[in-house]
Formats: sequence, C-alpha cells, structure tokens
Amino acid sequence: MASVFEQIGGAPAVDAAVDIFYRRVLGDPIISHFFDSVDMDRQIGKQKAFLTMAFGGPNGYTGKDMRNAHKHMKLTEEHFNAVAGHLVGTLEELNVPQNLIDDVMKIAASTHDDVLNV
Amino acid sequence: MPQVTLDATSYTLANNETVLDGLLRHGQHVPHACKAGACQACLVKAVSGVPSDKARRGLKPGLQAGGYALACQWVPDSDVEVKLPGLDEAASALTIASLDMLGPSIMRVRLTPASGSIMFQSRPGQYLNLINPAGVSRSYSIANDFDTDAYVELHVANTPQGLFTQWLFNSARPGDLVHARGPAGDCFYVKDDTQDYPIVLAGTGTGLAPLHGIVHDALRQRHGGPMTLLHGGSVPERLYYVDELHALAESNAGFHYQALTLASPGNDSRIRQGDLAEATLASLDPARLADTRVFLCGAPEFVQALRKKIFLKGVKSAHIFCDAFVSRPVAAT
Repeated sequence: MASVFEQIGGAPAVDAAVDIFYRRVLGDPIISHFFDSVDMDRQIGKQKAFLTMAFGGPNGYTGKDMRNAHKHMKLTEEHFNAVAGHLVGTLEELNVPQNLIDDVMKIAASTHDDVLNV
Repeated sequence: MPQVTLDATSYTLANNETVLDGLLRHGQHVPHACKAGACQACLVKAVSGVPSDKARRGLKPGLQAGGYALACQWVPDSDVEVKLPGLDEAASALTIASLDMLGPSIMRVRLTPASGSIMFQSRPGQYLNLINPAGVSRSYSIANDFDTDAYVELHVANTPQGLFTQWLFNSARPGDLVHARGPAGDCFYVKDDTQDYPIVLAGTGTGLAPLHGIVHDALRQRHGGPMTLLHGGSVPERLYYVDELHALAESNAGFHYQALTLASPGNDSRIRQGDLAEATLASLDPARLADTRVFLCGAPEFVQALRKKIFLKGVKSAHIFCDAFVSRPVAAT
C-alpha cells in the first residue's frame, strides 16, 4: 500500500498545493497577519515543509519544533481551525479524493496540541 | 561553544552565531554585504571543519568542492578553521573599460576580462560581487549579454554612504583592475519553446539594469509572448535609457515600454506620472495570469510589497523573479 504522500502525488503535489494554500491563508483576515512577513521565499519554504508533513511525506518536523515555532503567537482554536479549513479547501481545489483528504486532516489534527501549546 | 580560527587566532562563537557574526564581534575584518547568503561577499575557505549545506547553497560546484563557504550562513557545531580567500582566489580579474554618466547620478560601468583572465559564464540579470583594489566589495546586476558585447555592463547609482560606489564615482579610472565573484542569481530569461508566455518587468532606479539585460536577452532569443517593461523613478532625473528603450519598443512589436515618475514628468511626454506598483498590476493580463512571468528589481520594499500583490492576483510564486538587490552598507576589509 502506497503512503498517503505517494498517493497524493509526492513533491509535485506539494508544489501545486503551496500557492493555493498560501494565497488562501493570506486572504483570510483571521490569520493573514501571522503570515505578513515580507520574506515570501521563507514563507513559502515554511508552507512547503508544513504541507509535506501534512501529506505524510519525509520531513524534519518534530513535535518540539512545532511547539517552539508557535509558542509566542498566542494561537486559539479559531486560528487552528482556519488553517485546517484552508488545507481542506486547497485539497478540494486540487480534486484530491475524500479518503486522502481525511488521511491528511488526521495528520494535521495530530499537531493540534503542539501548535496551540496546550 | 565552537571556536573559529582565523590567522592562527581562535575566537569563541556565541550560541547559534554565524562564523561571520562571530569574527566581526571579535573585531576581525571580513568582507561582507547582504548577510543573507546572496551576495557571496563573505566567502571563506574551510581549512578544517566541513561547511554546512546551508553555508554552501548557491556556490558553484567548484567552490563547494574547494571547501569554500559563506560565513554569514555558517553556524558550525564544532571547531573550525577558516581563511579569507585572496583577491584573485575564486574570482575573475576584470579591467574597467569605461565609466560614463547615464544621468545626473547614475554611472554606466563597462568591464572587460583582464588579459590572461578566464571569463565566467553569465546570464543578463544575474549579479556579480565586485571587489576593488582596497578589498571593498559590492554586488551589481549584469545589464547586458557578455557573449554578444564582449564586456559586462553595470549601472551604479551614486549613494553617498556606499564605499564601493564612492570609489567608483571619485577614484576609479578606466584601466583599473577589479575582481569579480559569481555570477549568481536566478533572475534571468529562460526560453520556453512550448509556450509564448507574457513577461512583465518592473524596476525602480538602477533596478533597470537586470531588466534591461533580460529584455535584450528575450528579444535576442525571439521570445514569442508580449513583454512589458515599466521603469519608475521619483523624479525624471532618476530615469535613464529612455531614448534607447523607446526606440527598442518602436522596432519590436511585442515589446512595450513605459517610464513613470511620482513627481511631475516635466516636458517629456513619453514619461507618465503615476505609481509604478499600480501600473505593474494593471499591466497583468487577467486571462494569462497562470503563465505570466514577472521580474521585479530595485528598492527592496517596493519589490517585496509588489511581489506579494502580484502573487495574490494569481501569478504563480515560482513565476515571480526578484533580484537580490541589497542596500546594506558594505564593510571594508
């Protein structure tokens, strides 16, 4: 059985998803200010790392990294749900089958406690 | 904490400190400029210790194999020893062929390979790191095609605080020798025979230099899609090559050129008063956003802000190319 990452299309799928995802996030007033850095290259690099992880791909993320990266952002359920919503929306826009979307969202949900530092 | 050794003296690095920051903090003179891994001014050679992948990113394979690294990107996790490359090490020697003024404060510099020096491969729009005889360095974009012209052309704005610039404007003479590292950067034209994509180029001030090179490169390679160049300046005196670019637009049906100023353009009816960012956004063809390529060069705030707006409008992030224009003051050695 191929991994979620392979089924979804691997690194090219991440490339296809990152623009859609980043555009959605920047367009959402609830969370856009967290992504307001002027350095677009770095932002896109981070989004790619996140998407690779959410797609079940090879990545260097650890729970500790997740926790440290979000520690000072004072995030709430609302922020977490907004990002999760854009992840689903991105995958739907790319016509990813529902069973794979479910798998991706399971991985994304597993980061909940680290992202919100609870 | 790891130690970095330079010229037989060891210095202790702070937590997460780069080799460059550590050496500077200890009062050592290391040429540097952008501190962002772009300009390659802070090139060092590892005598012992293996540079991290990050510290070697963007370096030519030959330099990587030679143990060179960018000191500003290198955070060692164990002791290392480095040495500074000599002027002629990992660099090409160039002779200043001509220096002339394109406007009240803009100089055109043309360089030819010094005799016996091997010329590097470059693409119009890439940038070079130049080092003057005093060891002061600064990056400049390449405004032309060396293979066609047999010289490298650079455009330099007179900035009072720039050490390299002040040397060029006040002391340099044709015949003087400079050394160049690079070229580097991915801001250049790539011919694609399968699609005639639209190109939009926008720049402020001497940000025109790489765009000028890219436009000529694309025309030379018979780019099939429409191409629009927008050049902005606060006042008309900051614009240059207006005659040349107008003539180029008149003789090439697919190429459009517009110069803009924020202040009144005066008597020149070819220059429009207006905002460069707005004009650039307005020049994007809504039906072609998916394959439009955009090149943005010049003032960093202008480039970064406009880049995001163009992306949000629907241009692919991988299709927006920006030069690594750096305005930090440059330290002398």
